[in-house]
Amino acid sequence: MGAIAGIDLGTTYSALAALNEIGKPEIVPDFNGNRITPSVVAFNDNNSAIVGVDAKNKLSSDPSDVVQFVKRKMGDPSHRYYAGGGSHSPVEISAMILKKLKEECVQYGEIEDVVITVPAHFNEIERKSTMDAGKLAGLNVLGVVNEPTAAAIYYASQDPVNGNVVVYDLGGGTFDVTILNIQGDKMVILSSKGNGHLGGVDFDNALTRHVVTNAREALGKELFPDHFFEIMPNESSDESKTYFKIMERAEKAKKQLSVSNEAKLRATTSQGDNLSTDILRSDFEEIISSHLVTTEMLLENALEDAGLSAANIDKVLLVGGSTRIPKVSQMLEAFFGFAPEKSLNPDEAVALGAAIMAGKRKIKATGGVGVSAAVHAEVAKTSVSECATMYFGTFSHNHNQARGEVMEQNSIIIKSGTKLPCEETKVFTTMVEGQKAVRVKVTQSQEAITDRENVEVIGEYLLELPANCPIHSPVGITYGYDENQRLKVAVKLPDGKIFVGDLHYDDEGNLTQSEMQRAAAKLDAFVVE
Amino acid sequence: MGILSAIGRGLFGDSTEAKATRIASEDPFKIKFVKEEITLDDGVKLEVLSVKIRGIINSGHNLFPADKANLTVMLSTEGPDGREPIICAIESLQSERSLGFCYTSDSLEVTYGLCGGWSSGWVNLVSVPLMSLTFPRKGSLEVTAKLFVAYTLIPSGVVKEATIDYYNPHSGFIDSMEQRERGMEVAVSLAVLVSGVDGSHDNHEAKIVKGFIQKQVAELKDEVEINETKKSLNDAVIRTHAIKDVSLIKRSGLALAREAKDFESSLKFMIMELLLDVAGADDVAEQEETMFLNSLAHTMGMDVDEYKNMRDKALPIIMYEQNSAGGSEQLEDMLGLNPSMTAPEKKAQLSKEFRKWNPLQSSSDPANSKQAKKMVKAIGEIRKKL
Repeated sequence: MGAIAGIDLGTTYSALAALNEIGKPEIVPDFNGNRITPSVVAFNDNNSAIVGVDAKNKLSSDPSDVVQFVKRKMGDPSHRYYAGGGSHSPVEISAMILKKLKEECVQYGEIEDVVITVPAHFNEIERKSTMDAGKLAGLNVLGVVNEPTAAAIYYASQDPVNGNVVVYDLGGGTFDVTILNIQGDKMVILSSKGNGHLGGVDFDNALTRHVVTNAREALGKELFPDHFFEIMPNESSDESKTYFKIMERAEKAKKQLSVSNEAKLRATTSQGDNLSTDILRSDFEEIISSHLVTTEMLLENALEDAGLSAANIDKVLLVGGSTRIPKVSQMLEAFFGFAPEKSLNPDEAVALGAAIMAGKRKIKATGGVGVSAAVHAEVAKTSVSECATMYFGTFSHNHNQARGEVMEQNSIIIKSGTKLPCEETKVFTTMVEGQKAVRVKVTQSQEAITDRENVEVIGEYLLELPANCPIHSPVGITYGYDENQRLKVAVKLPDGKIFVGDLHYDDEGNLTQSEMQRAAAKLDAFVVE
Repeated sequence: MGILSAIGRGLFGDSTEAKATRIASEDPFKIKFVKEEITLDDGVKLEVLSVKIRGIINSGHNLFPADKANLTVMLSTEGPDGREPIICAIESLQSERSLGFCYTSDSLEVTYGLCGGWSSGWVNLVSVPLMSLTFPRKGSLEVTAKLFVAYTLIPSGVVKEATIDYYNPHSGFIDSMEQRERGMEVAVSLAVLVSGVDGSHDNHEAKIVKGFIQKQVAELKDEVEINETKKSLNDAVIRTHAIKDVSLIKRSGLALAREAKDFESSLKFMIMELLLDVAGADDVAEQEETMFLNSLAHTMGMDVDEYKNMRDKALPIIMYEQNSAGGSEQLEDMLGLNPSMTAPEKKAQLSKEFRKWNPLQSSSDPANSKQAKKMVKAIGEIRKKL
């Protein structure tokens, strides 16, 4: 039988862990012994691409053919990367990274069944895109799992804990905070909050901006346009090469500052200018302070949603490489009154936990067939009860008390925090005599928002009503949310007919069956090194 | 609902014919108009206005016997200029030919001289839920139910009416129309005051006010009404434009806002939409303007959250950044903070703002995303100080 694995597909780094013969998860290093792989793809001219460290090294020499941080674009329907003479979707790029991880897993043989992790705040489209990427890479994707949940599962398998636990996951590109309760072998997720644009890469960017702003005076010129800090360049100009070179040095300095109070940043720009600056840890902490305040506010929101306060928390787990920044631990210690747990490897815990979740999903899917007794015994040690991390609703016309008028607003059907799997129904009515159709728009939001302009529409159905439908006829809308946090929609019409469907996406970034086949053929033709 | 018909049933022991002759010489039938509470099949109680009838319904005419009749009820009240109709939300009870409630029964068999359709006790002709009725005015009203008996062969019918006193707690539709007319004047006056509160009026702002007036006029059909509206709104602009002193501008604004406090919510929000458009016309959120708008919204009694939502959309943070004279005080105001709040209250307000803006950072609308990122950054900066 093939190996069962979990993959942490990160914004900046990815990792793969597989269950060994005694059912324990282990990180699978690449051919060079690296336990984590940069999530970077560099295209060559000959229909091939390289993934990992070598790809990342090409940034400062030829950034136009290098793609990184693709996780931030998963589910962005319009986004395309133009590199290597072709155009590629975020799903295709992610599939290349996954394909590389899969191929490097020689010591475990063929990796078949995987669970891929996603940030807890990932929406419906982003989750589907991640699963599509796995399928494109030739993997049997058993499902997606939230990163904090995976880390918590791994932690609980190493060090049994009872009580309320906070998982503070600050990675390369995303931040999640999850509150869960563990009692014996039962783990219940209580709440989750996150931000998809907050992570180590933003700290590198802020440090780069600081250095470049100071250098402007000394050098008497602009090294590159300021808009590079908002939208990363993808051309091969001297300016963009300079930007990536300084970013790379900034990342090194950032890591240095986690172990010492001072770091030096030295770089020679593509135009031949020499940059040299000393950075104090205290300066760096000031530069990233507003980002850390954001994480603190998300933590407060998560506690509030869970109905808890800081005093109710028994343990804090740190996940993600950016939690190595000393200020993070200090902030959390000040918040909770005790130091966070540091026994987990923050770069690896998510992948290791994902492997355990893959074992659980495999057992559930096959009834245990294809799963060794050792794996069975090991992964059965903990059960997890997830909750919805988003609000799902639909647009309807309601009377807005404050404004004194009937307005189209967002009506919530599934609330965040609802235990999974779940099914919720709300009954609406038709608005006019003889209404011909009803348009059901499926919405999602991180908060309970009624303003239709501030929610995301992730799907739409136009359903015909029976002829001569009386006014105020009932239309029942049911949302079902499964443990992969994928949504199903059912609409009961006034004549009793029921329309059922997965969300069908009109967006280009989300692949239909035929598009999947075309993308798979394209990926097969690519050599991923 | 219906009429009991009992042809030939004895009442007082007289012969049928004698009885019919005697009753026919009396007033044919009576009506009663009451406000009452009824209980529906599912146990829900409903307040209704009911028209009930009693007695004989016959043609009352001895030349042409009528064989069928329809009973029609219309409701109205007395206004300063005469009868004003009452509108019903139930489509089948709303007259197509003239505005107002109109119920017509099924055809009834009626015969002159004999007992036609009749009832010895009060029978419900029609009950209409109060919640489905819109009255012309708020307050104490004399509501009249007029009953017409329309015979198939005889053109004129018998008319009966009954009246009750009813207190309408809601704004009436004529109130709304009159309020709306006044509301438009208040809107343009306030718009001119907002435009002038920073010491000068600019062309962008004037264009907004002009556009508003044109839009109001474009919705009217009647030539006289169009001219009257144009005149009243332009007069309001000229009158208010003449106020130059800033402290007088503010006092006048607050007086108008106090008047607007009694307006319907939808009208208040329409006014505020115009004021925010004027304030944002030059793409700069001047502190004088934003503070003045806040005080107007507060005086008008607008919902705080709804007003803030409108203000956030109309005056995004970039407009505050364009105001070089604006300081942290204006930014704090933008986030709903005020100096009288304690630190925990400020933290709670910032948390509320954070919940609103944080998810919008990943909005697919680039303008929304940009605005949200700036707001989250601003929230972080202020939060650091607390």
